[in-house]
Amino acid sequence: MNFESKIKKLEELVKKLETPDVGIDAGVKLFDEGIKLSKECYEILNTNKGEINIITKDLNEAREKPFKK
Amino acid sequence: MNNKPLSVSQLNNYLKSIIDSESMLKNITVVGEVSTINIVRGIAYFALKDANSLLNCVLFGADKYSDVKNGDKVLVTGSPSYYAKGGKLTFNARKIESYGLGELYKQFLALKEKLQKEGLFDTAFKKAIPKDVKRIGVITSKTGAVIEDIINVVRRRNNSIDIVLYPAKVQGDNAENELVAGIEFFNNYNVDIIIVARGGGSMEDLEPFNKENLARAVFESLKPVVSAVGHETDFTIIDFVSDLRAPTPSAAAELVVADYMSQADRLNILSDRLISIQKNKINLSESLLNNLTDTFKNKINMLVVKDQNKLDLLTSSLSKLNPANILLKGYAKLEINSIPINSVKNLNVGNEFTAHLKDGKIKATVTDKEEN
Repeated sequence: MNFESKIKKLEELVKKLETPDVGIDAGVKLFDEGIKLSKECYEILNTNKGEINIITKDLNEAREKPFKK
Repeated sequence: MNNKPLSVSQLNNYLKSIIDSESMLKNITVVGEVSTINIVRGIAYFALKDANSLLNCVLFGADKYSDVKNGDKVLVTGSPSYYAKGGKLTFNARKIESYGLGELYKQFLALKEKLQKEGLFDTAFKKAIPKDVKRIGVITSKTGAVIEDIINVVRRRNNSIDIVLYPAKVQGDNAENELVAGIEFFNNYNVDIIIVARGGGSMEDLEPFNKENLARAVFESLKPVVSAVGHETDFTIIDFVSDLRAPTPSAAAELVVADYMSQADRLNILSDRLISIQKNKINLSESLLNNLTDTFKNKINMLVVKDQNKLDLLTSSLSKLNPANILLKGYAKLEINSIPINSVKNLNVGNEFTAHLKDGKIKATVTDKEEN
């Protein structure tokens, strides 16, 4: 599931949790699931730093090296 | 100010050196109307003019321009040169193109029509742009603003994306072959999508992107190709054959990379709401439970108090009914052989009976009897 789907799912969970007829047992389940999703989303935003590389050809063998400005 | 007079040669040579060294004047294209054209032994002498000015031009190797005539509106490419000896400025033309429909443009239109007929532009062949791109292959120059723009936009929108640059020449001889090599390379490399990008430029500058071999490489690419060449108004052949045409390199990055960062606020709000709703739910349940417990306790208490009262009442009634209490007041309880006597009918004169008093008992005999 990608970030976008995770956020959407989280939104649905919050909406469901907001309805008054969701009891405490079902609520705890939704809450746990929501917290897990929220954590995963924050991880995607904050911790997964992508790389910026350049293809270089040494002796015709292509290699990926960090791209420096 | 130097008041020493200059010779004509000194001034003209100075003017020549200024004009010859001015790089802004090298290889420029001027638009104007042809007048007084005269081609002699392969050399064309003509003037280019517009409403207010005139420029003398000369072009060597003019045989292929025999159809150029006075009054034609043309684009002339070359450099101005100052002839010190004659004190005259002449525009050294290399190329004459008819205005609006230059040679390159004609080639462009011809190739566009050819590839269109072959179906290379058909939407049926366009590959979808993946929604969850993790690695982007970018084919462009390793210097210049284009790659920087792409990196900046990608980073601003999404931290987790990898960018792999395939450095390629984006103008001049052989540029199209380097671009083709990039597409072929990325087709066998770990990227999800390919962006072919270049900044703005003249039609000549953008020429590699109008080449047939590049168009075919893009068409045959198994991975989606996004073209981002020049400015929004520039259209090159690759734009028609690519799976998605972006108006600029920055726009290409925006089209390809999902904007996660703008979702950060949404995530914060959702997470806060999740926690506060759950807190409220727990608080509500807690107070409900407390209320129920209190009510239950009260009910039990009330029942206990009620029973206590009843018990007290009963005890007091019971104690009132205790026959021993009656004996205290001076009454006696009579029995014959442990059977209580409650009527004179049960006794006859001479009968012996027992009388119980508060502190003991006596035996007595009936000596007289009178019925009411």
